[in-house]
Amino acid sequence: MTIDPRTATYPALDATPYAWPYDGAIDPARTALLNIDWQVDFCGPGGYVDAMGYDLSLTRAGLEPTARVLEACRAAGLMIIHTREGHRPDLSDLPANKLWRSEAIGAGIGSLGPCGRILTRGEPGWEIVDEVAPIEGEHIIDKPGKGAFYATDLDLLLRTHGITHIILTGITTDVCVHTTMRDANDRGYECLLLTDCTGATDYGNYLAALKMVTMQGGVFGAIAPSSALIAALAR
Amino acid sequence: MTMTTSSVDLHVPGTRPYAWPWDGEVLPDSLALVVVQAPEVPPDGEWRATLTELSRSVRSAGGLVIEVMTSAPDRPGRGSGGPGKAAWAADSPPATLLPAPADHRVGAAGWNGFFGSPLDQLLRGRRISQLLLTGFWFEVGVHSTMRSANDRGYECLLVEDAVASDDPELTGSAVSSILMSGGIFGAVGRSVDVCAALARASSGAP
Repeated sequence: MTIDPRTATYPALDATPYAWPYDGAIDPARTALLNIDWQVDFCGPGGYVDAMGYDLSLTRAGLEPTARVLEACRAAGLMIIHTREGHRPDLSDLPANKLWRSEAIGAGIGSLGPCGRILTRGEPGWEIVDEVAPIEGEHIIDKPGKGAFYATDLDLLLRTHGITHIILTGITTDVCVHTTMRDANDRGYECLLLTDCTGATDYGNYLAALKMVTMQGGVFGAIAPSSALIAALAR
Repeated sequence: MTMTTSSVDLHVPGTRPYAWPWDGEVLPDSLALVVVQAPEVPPDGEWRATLTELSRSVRSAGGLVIEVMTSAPDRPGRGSGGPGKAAWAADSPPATLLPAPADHRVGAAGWNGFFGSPLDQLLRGRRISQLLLTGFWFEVGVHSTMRSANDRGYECLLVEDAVASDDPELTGSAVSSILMSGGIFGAVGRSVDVCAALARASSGAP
């Protein structure tokens, strides 16, 4: 028997603190994969995170598992959305305090680094790395802040496509991923964060950010390793 | 020797990872104390008395005091009884954490105090640019609200002894996340130092 990809659903997966999703099955027509900020600036040599002196291996660790998840989600027909943090070339959408802090730590937004102007739209450092790059037909959200819902059309895009469930990957766990997951959860989206598809500039903060999701019975959603999702999508 | 005004430090002393506010001067007329609340009985502790003192200090300096009622979001098909603790009971308004009524009390539709609330409008209408973040739960509503405020360009200071965590094991990391990358959501300081800066700013004396 042939499975109609438009109506097929996949079983809930083992997740913490509850089997995800809460409503029993993954419906690819209502589920989006949201890849947060896999940009050279956050995980590539010479980018913003590198310029601040952090260990790149921590933010790069999730790249391979995310590439496998991306492939599985494309095959299952999920909506795929990529986000990029960056500012307009004239920096007219850059809050003064954000600019000042970046300059104070020696990685001024808009200043010239090895990958072009730091966190600036259109520059090499702002591009998504090859391992998880978008393909034709996938959506890209350009955001000026940490959260992907602030000052973007992400919510409109999700609602227009009938999306109710969001699977998150990306960097960094405690900053852009957490802010976006928190705001998605507030808006009623059922969220899953893949634990091996994300990383932070500090390993302890990565672990704490994961635990924070699972407080109070899943205050922001649930967490699971990518292997659990890939197994569910293979059934 | 007479000190010139330019040599007077009007930052809040001892804030991390930078001297707050970024542009150098606590401005009581442009400052709001944001007291985040969760829909539960607030935990006891020293932080309650600290918050009381801080609110009096903000008030007497001329700053704004705003209570923000955060709550578990409604989730389609699951209501607000799912993960996350209960919503506010419609028939019993929550008790205040403050010794005197706040200037404003706003309700949010989720853990982020800006979501589904008039908070941003209210702050912009009053030309507020500096926020002191306090309340409970620190790693839930306070953090979500601080993140959103920072994206909107507000200059935020987490007052670390005027918050309460739901899981105290997560307090250190919730602070550390703010300090990363030169203060990615703002800065962290202590109430006594904020009160000292406010008193200095409102008296005009160094």
